[in-house]
Amino acid sequence: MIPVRRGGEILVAERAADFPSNLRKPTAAELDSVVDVKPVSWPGVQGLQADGSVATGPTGQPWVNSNAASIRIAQFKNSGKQLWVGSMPRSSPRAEEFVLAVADAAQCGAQWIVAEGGDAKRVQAALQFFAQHREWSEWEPVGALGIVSDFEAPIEREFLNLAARRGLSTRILDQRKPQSLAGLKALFWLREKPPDEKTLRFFTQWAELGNLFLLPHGSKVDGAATEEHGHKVYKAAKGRIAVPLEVWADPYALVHQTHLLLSRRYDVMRLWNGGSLNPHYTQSADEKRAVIQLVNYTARSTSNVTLGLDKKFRKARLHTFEDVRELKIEAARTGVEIPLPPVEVYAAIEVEL
Amino acid sequence: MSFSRRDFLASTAAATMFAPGAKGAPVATVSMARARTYNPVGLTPTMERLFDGIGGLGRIVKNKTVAIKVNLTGAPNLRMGHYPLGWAQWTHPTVLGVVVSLMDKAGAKRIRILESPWSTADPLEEYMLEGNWEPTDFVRAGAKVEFENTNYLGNAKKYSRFAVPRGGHLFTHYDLNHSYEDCDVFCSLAKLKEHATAGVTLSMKNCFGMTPCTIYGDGAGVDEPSVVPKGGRGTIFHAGKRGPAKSSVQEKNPGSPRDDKYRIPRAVADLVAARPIDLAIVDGIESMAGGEGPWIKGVRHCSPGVLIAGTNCVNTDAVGTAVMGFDPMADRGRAPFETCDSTLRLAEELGVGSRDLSRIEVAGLQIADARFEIRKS
Repeated sequence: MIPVRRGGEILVAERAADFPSNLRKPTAAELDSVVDVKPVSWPGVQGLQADGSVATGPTGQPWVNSNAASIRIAQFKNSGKQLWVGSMPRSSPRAEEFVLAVADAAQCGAQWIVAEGGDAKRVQAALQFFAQHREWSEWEPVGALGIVSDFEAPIEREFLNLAARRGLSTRILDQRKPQSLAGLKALFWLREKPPDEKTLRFFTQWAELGNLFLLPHGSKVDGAATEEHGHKVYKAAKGRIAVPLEVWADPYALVHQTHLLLSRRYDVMRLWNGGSLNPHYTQSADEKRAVIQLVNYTARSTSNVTLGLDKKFRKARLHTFEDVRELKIEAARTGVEIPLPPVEVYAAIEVEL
Repeated sequence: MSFSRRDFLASTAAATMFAPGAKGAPVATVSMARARTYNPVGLTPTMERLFDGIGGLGRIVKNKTVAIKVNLTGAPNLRMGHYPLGWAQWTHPTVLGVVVSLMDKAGAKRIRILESPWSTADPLEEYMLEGNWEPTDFVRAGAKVEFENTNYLGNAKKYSRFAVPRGGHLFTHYDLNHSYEDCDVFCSLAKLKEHATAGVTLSMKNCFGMTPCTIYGDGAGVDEPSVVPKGGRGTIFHAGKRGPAKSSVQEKNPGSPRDDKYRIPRAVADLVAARPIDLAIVDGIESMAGGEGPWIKGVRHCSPGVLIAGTNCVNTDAVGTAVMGFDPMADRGRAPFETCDSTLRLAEELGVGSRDLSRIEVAGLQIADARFEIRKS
């Protein structure tokens, strides 16, 4: 079911192929199964100038507006529901801006409410592509940092957004259901209040195995501590427990400190020459297949991007809206590197062990 | 009577003030070796031979604290094409690993790996990891190996002040991270490249990266050094649009040209005169032509297949310049210094060393056999 905005009304197309002609009103039951995600912004690079220069964030990377973090949070809070991302007004949008908005939402499993007009064929091709590859967004994100949060505070939500920009891949853990901690090297209790005694004991024992447990300011931990990257760091057998020296205030600083405490050694993915890209890395339940979806937020195609992965994948396939082809894989010190052809608005790199 | 390292460096600087000019500038043997790959199995004996050509590493590093300034220019997520950083703008990690291992074998007491990474106060190890290097490889290569990010104050209480002999070209003094003072032996482990602003990047230009951006960077503090470095060195060093943090010694002549091709060669010459390089090593196995990093238009990969080492940085860079197909006696107007002044000449004027190939003995591979016309590559 594809949501389409016609004037002030939301209609739906049954399949991507029906867009934009065979539209109908959604039923009340259909609307009940939908969560309307408020977009943070129209996706893109902030401050893109006519000469191609862009505004940069604190890292020197382009400042990217993406709804991916909001969608991930909405997914976490509304398991099993369809997510629609309310389209926003845009004066004279270019075709690729429509496609970018669709891709930004769809990489995480949501649907941008497409508007009629513009280059319908390109939008339709994108919608069909994501319908065919729905499983990718249902796979579990890959990352060494697990997050427990209710994402109520703005800093908790912004953490997820800025972590992705920094290349710090995260997995949201749902306390409501049993979840494996396999593959995680750190767990962040990203809530204002520390966990209860039982939970604290559980994650402390997990940290003692050689992992990192990050707690909010004010958490009580026994023992001697050192000061590292804005935190008191306590030894916990083979692992560490970190408590910030101050109450969280700056999400950029928090992401930065967290990444340093964890270390880039545990980055599951790296991108070279990919400053305008936001990657979304998910893997199948058996962990044998994975996909890295890359959305390019600038109007220009990328050049000489190399993707580095921490696993020794043997096969890589490039998917675009128009094409599928094999990619060459090069062995790296740890894992593999995959030189990529230019990415226009979107590309998915499907890999297999 | 006891001498601190600072006293020693100051006395060295004073002595060179009375050194004779270009004709009498110091000379020492430069060694070269052919190396076509970064395979550590082959590279280790090759580098042993390279260092044997300058009398062996033992005489330089035994029982000493050695500081190695590597060249990790630009951001670690920026590559020239798809080439790994060590195949283009960075010193290759295998060369660094072999150097650490051989220094350790030669009896170095402590080996410290230094760099001022792009716009960050993060630990140097984290910066290396971002570039897909593994810092523990270097830790394992020696008994006591440390890292320090020298782009800010680091763990010291204050910056170390270095005086430039003969009063310097651009500044009389430079304030640097303590690591450049707290060592017995200073090694510049550089890359053989061209440079858009200075003509060539060799062991001397590598030392431009010693300067902390908290004092000399785009985001430097006005009165005092900033806490963390931000941006590059374009505003103060390249453009001369403002002075360094006022707590540091200001420029000698604010009326001098605001031309980076005048300023950068002078700053580099000053720095290597103020903080002498005891061992210059140039990685020219794989590199890039046309500039020092992927941000320069028209750069391309090249494979000069050569390693160079010497105890005098001007001599070493003169040989490196010749290997690239240029005349080290050239100055502004002649390749590779068509639009800039020659750092070689400026360092020679400060008494650091001679660039006159007729006075420099080359051991091992000879220049004629090593020559790699980088502009024709």
